[in-house]
Amino acid sequence: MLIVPGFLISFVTFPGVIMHEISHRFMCDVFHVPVYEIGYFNFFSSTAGHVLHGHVNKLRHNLLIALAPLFFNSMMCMVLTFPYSSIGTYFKVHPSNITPLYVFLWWVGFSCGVHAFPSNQDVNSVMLAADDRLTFGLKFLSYFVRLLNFLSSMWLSFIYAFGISFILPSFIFN
Amino acid sequence: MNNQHQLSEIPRYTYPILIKISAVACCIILGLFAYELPSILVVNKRYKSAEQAFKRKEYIRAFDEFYALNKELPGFDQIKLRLAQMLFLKKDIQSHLVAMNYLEGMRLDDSKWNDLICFMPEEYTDLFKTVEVKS
Repeated sequence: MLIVPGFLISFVTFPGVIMHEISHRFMCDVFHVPVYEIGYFNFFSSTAGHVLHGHVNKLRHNLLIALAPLFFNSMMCMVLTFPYSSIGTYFKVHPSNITPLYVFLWWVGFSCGVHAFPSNQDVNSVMLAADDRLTFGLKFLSYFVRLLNFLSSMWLSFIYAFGISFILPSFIFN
Repeated sequence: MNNQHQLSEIPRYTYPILIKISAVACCIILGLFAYELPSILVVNKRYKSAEQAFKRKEYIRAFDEFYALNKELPGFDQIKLRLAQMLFLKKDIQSHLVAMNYLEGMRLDDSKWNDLICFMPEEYTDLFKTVEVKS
């Protein structure tokens, strides 16, 4: 199996890292949670990006802040890859002269998809906040996200991004 | 938590200018696709219709449709291949020369080559050369 260092993957797919942090930050803004520091993309750090936010009162809000990338990055992946995925799979011919722009957009969208899974740190923060309210569902979620991140080292996040990049065209043009 | 209170809070919904510019650029490209999509759909509908006519062996109709498409989209090998195949069905050498012009410089994979030799007279196969493709 091909092993590529994580920082190299983050570097090549940096728009996804930025989108991942934006989605955390956006949910903080929605729930009026103060944000003190944001690293949209840190190439020379062990963590590609980070959001330092204040205390979250409701567990539900904490959960939504942690899981935000799963929704936002996946949605961005579906939307931004739509033009080139459509051209590449459903249209045998096309009169477009700006295909390179669609390829660029596909790369941005695909990168978002690659970084859609919440990180282990994201789930840890929810687990810490949950403390005595740790339900079976939360424990399951925690293990599930850890499993996803483990499998991402075996390219699961790429397979996921590739899969969801064909959702919209197959819905619309099939 | 005390450390966090010493840090200043970032105003809500404010994002760096580069992120805003990138978002606008992505929206513009999506807008361009939305603008092009109707014409892409129309062209593909015509292409499908031409392909169906070809498969039903309605070659006169198929040739007219592919010919019109080739004028609009000269960069698509599949259209030229179909035109060449239909021209090879004619018995005159002039049509065969036109067919060869369509095929000039084209690289055909195995399936397209097999598709072509069903129509092309055998004596022309020598005019093609096998190219090794490194993967």
